[in-house]
Amino acid sequence: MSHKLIKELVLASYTNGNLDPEKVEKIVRLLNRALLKQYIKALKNRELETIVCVESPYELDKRYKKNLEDMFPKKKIAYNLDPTLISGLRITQNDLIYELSLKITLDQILKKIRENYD
Amino acid sequence: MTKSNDIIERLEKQLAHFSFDPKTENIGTVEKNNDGVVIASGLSRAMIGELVMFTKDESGVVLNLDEDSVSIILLGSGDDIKEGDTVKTTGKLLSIGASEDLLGRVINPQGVPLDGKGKIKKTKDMPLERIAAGVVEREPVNIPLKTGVKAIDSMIPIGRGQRELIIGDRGLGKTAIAIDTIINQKSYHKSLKPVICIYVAIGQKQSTVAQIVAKLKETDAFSYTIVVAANAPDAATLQYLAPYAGVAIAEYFMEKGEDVLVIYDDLTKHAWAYRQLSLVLRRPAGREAYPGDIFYLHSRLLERAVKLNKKNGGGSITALPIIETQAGDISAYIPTNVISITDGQIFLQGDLFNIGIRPAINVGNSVSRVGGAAQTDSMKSVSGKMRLELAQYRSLEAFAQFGSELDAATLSQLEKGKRMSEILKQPQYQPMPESLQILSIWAVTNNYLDDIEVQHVQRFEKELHEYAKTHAKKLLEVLDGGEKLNDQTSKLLKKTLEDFKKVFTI
Repeated sequence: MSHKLIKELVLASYTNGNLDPEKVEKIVRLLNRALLKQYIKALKNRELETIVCVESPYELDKRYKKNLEDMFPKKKIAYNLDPTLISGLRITQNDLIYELSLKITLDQILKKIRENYD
Repeated sequence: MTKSNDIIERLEKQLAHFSFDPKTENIGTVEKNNDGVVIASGLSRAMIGELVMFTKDESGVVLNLDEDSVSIILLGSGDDIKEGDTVKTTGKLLSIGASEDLLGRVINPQGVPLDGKGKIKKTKDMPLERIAAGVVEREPVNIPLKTGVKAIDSMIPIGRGQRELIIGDRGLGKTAIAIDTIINQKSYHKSLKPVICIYVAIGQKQSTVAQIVAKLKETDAFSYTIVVAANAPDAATLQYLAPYAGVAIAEYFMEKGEDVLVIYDDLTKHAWAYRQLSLVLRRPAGREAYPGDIFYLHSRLLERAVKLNKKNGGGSITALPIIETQAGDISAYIPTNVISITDGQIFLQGDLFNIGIRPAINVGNSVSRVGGAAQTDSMKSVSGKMRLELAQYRSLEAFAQFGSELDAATLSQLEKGKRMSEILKQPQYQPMPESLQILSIWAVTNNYLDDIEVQHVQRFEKELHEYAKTHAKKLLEVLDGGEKLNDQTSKLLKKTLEDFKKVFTI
């Protein structure tokens, strides 16, 4: 079974944008171990595409949350706390990370100094 | 002002220019780590040749982009990289820090010093992969790169900006010719434009590289030489990257208008390293299991050898790639590829080596396609007929072995050929100035050695050089000038040889 077909099976596993357990069960019965592994991996990737993870040093208020929801329509947003960021945000969308924190700015300054001085 | 105040002031200046860029990182997950190659999922924005970073300070280069994974070749051992680890793109192509501080140093293809002499300050990052200079930026090869080897400078001349292949079986003196060429550049540092030398060791034994470095130091040639070493125990990735690192450093100096000589020792092992990587990357194998782009691997490297025109700084990169053959077979896959890419080849032959002709250059199979234009007029005027006469001698020599009676003309040609072969012999690590080369060649081609026994020819040459250094300084200066031999110079040459023959005793 080709990679393309596995992708089609993953798409077929959803009903109205949500993973359908009945459809998944039907598909799983048709797959052998190797294909099942590919199917699970493809499902995981698909799930990751629908989730946006927002990390902040403190709890965000509703106004910010609303802004973020407008920025990522049709995506589930997961909020996590990370005090090491000091200030700002880190947004992870699938395999992309948007670093908007004070920590990354300080890290960049440190890196530049280290590169230029022994 | 104190040193600390200085540092703070510099820091403040740098901070004023520091701009904060919101950083976007593309991440992936390690799926497999096999034989120096990592397969990672994610990394949807990775580019071919992009540098990626793993956790624990490991790095790698993206070499394959598949539908939902990328293949990364590791620059380190990669022993600590496990399935599930995170990998990040950097947005940078692989590059090497270059500066004048590299001169007299031994580094690996990542720019890490291997000589224990401490950190090297970098002035500019030079990309390892780069498109070679175009036609408009170039000019024809017109300045000689003197190797100091009589047989090469006279019959197979090399010009600055040329690509000349050194090819032959193992142990015939390929590296020796390259090292002699580096040593010979020392003389230029006194008067003419110097040549910066880069020796790239690929898959060599560490002891061999150590010996070469020691020899260069011993001959005072290390101060203008950089050694880039990816030795036999190093990862195939480093061996694959080494020649590109060498040429990237060469480009740094060339951009400053310098003439650079790069020696790739050797491209056979480079092809092996690339074959190993390609097979682990599961790229389709072709002839002798090499991948389909093995020609491009070497052509894009050697195309970066260039002579820039004055508008572009006038610098040059001369490439001397080395290829090791098996049982003298120059028609194998990699040798034919590199022969077709380069502007000529110096072919070393085992039979010649075994009968004591060293350097064991086979004049018939060796050629320099562009170097002739760069040869000095003085050398051109004395060496013109030697190549033909030597080739004729080699074919006559084969017939003479049958023992049949030969006519006087053939016998004299054979005798002259023997003396020519003898005069072209040269010990290792003893490059010779052009003036002395011309003196020797002029003597043999103008029959001044006909009455000297073959076994005395080398002593004759040695003593002639000593004599000329003390009694004919003016002549040597004229010959070094490079101008075509005129009647006056010919008379001087004749007089010097006649005077020397009076004092030479067997």
